Amino acid sequence: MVPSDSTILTNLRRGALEFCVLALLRDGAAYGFDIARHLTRDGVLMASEGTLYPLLSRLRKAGLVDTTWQESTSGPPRRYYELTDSGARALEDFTATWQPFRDAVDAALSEGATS
Amino acid sequence: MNTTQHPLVSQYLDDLSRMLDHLPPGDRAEVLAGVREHIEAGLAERRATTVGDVSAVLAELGPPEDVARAAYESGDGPGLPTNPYAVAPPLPAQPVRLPISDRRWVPVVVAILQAIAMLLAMIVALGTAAVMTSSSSDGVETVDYAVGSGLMVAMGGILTALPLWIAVVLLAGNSTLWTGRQKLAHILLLPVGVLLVGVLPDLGWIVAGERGLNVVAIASLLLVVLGGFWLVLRLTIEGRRRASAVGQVGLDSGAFDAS
Repeated sequence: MVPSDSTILTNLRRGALEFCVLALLRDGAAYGFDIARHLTRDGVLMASEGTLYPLLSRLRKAGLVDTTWQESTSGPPRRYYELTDSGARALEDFTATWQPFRDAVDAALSEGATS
Repeated sequence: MNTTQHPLVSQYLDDLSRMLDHLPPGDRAEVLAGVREHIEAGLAERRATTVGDVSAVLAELGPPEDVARAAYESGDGPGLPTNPYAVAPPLPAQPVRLPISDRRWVPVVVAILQAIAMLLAMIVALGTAAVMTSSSSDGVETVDYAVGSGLMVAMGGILTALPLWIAVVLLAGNSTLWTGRQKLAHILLLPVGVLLVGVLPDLGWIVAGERGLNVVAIASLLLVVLGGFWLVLRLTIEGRRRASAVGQVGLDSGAFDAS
């Protein structure tokens, strides 16, 4: 079976997307809508904004993010997401693993191209 | 929320809510609340709620199916609900159940079906074999026999045994306990046997009259019954051998899955 482009992308996202969400929260709590907007900007990390919310729910249950309520200038209070301590550690671990992983994949791909 | 909900938004949330039915209630509420807030924020940002704005916000959210799929995808752990919206269901880890036609009892059952079908067909054939009419006048006995009537008899026999034969075809044909050629033997046994019994006596009649008819009729009957018995016996032994092999090695490897 030859996987389609979208299948490849889906599989790649599966391992990395949640850490991208954590990374967006590194500088402080963020609102779901803004996180979604960030991640769908180029269509690579996330295809549709709605899929963020199941992911956030999962991260909250895993204890990697916390929700807080903040008043908004217009309308009802908004749910903000912020990194927990274990979320921060998970992000560090991922970052440390990701660099060599990315380098290895790049190396393998370019070796394949030159041989 | 200071405005009433747009019908498109209500529909979107209703659809999503229905699709999330199998999630734990807390998770479902959390996802729905997140999405609802997102829509409100999107609409608030646009400051207008024309149908076009609403559609644009919903379009950016993506179809509710996508959200539901992501929601059900959460689990690596056990006890989580299965995902009815999964693109490709995860490979089954549970032991593969043997298809009916590959179970151990199949060879024997097929053999019994064959025997009963053959018996039925022969009884019908013999019962109607009286198409050979004899009449005597003036001390001279004349025997009339219409060539081809045996064929009719054979058809009658096949028709009678048809339900059993269909069962044989389904069981043996779908089974992996026999090779293609062996399956063909199982399937053709009855029709060919009955045809032989029906047609061969014609030759005897043509060659040697009444005596030839009788001799060939009995001979072909014996040939078909004995030959059929031998064939079914061999096929059954072969099928049982393979069935026990499948039972031993194939159960979790799925090796018997081929063809």
